[in-house]
Amino acid sequence: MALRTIGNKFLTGPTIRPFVTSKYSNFPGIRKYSVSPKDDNKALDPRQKALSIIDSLPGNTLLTKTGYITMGVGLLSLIISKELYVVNEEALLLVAFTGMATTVFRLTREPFNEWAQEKTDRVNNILDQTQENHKTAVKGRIETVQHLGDIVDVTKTMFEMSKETAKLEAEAFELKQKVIATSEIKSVLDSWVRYEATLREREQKDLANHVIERVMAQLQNEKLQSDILNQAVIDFEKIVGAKSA
Amino acid sequence: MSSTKSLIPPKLSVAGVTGSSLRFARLGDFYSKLPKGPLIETPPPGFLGRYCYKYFRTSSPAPILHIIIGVGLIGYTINYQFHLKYHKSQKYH
Amino acid sequence: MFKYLTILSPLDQFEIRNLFSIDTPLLANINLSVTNIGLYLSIAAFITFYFSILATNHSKITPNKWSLSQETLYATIHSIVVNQINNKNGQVYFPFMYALFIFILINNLIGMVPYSFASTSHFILTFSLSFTVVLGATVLGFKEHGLKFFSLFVPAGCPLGLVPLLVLIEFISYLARNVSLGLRLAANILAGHMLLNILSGFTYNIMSSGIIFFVLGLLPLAFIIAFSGLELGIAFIQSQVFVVLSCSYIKDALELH
Repeated sequence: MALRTIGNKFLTGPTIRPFVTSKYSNFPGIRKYSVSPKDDNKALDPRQKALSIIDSLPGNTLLTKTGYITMGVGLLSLIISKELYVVNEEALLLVAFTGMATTVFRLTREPFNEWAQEKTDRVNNILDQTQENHKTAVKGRIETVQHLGDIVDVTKTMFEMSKETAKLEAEAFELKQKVIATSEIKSVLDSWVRYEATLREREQKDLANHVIERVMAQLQNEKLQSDILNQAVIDFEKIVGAKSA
Repeated sequence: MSSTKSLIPPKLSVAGVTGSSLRFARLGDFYSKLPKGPLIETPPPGFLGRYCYKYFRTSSPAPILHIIIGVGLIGYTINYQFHLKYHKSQKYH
Repeated sequence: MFKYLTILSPLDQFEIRNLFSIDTPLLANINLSVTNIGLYLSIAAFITFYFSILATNHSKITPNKWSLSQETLYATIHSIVVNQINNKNGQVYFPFMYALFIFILINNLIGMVPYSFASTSHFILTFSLSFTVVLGATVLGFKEHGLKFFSLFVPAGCPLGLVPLLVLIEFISYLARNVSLGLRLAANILAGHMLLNILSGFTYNIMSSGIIFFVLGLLPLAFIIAFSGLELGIAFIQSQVFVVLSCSYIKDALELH
């Protein structure tokens, strides 16, 4: 069984290929020691790197920079040669500490700065936003109040108007009272007139009745009746005589 | 009675709206006293002032380095005085 | 032969020396000395003070990086205190804990600077701190609970027969807190500094033997760098551990389990 699997592995073509490729891709050293495009980028500009190193040195011109370096190296060698600085085990610790401190500083600077920037930005944003809000609030308030700017004059004219209205209303009230009074007087007088008219009417009616009664009573009289009859006959004869003539 | 009341116009010009009140005067006073324009900063005199102006205001990490160097120098001086000067190239041994 | 003579003792760096002393017959022969530990503690006090001043950022609302870093420390210690002691009553102990933390941390960090002096590697300093903390916690416990404080030594739900033994054990463990709290801090710092010094002594001897050995010695130098990085971590962790344990002791005294 084992032999068969081995045979299969080595005899059939397609199984060999993946075996080989996987073997090489799993070997990390190949990638490590080969040149990658990243390394190319880094090594691309040694001139720039040198310039950046020169820039990091103190001094303004190249001459002063060289001067500073020479001075520094000279001073250091002087200190060491005069044994003001004693090179011993502690010097190694100094080197180690410097290395550690620079590494830690380089590693933490970027994340720390980003983090700090984020925090400060948050506070700044809140403050800026508050300022903006305050500004807009004040502006809104000014806008709402602005059309009330001539409020004093408006109120004054309104008071004037209301005074006038009060005066006019008083006059109107007076006139109305007058009208009411006159109408009342008129109605009283009218009622008097009506009463007098009825009174007169009744008197006239009584008078007429009385006259008619008197006439009726007189008509009952024989003498009068004959007088009237005679008169009528005379009138008739007159009319007939006139007609015939 | 109500007829006379209806005649009086509403009191629109209340104090505080037209800016006649003390509160608004104080507010205006406060705002007028605030500095205007960009902040002009000048380094204060003296070494300490200039140091603070240069490093503390910008919150640069340089003071940490200065403190490390300062502490190291003090420590070296003490160490030198007490024993390092006796270790010069095995002179004293 | 000379090489061995020039090796510094790794313990040499911990020696306490008088820098400035007054020994006067006027004041009953009182001996007032400024030692190097005193000097470095003063430097630590100055640094702590100025760190706090910087953190105020001229009373501006916007924090600068100093204030942010101190606020982070503040938040860390605050959460430790609040989680360890009590959410509400524990806040009273926060200023003490923060002062303790920043004191130990700054002293640890100063000790890391080459040629300087590690104050916290001295048992006298750390023991005085730890004894003060534990003794203070004990006084606090007596004040809060009176004689009931002794119930701290009896674990809950133990059989009656075992009580004397357990009380003895608990009492010893309580006493050991004094020592262990300070010992942990000082031993860590001491061991770290000694390790670095011994390593550097070996490496120096390797590197000063010749050019090839100088190059060879760069490897142990890398180890020293790594160890000093570790020391930096220890400086933070030990100060934090000290605070955490102090908090838990205070909590024990306050709540009796």
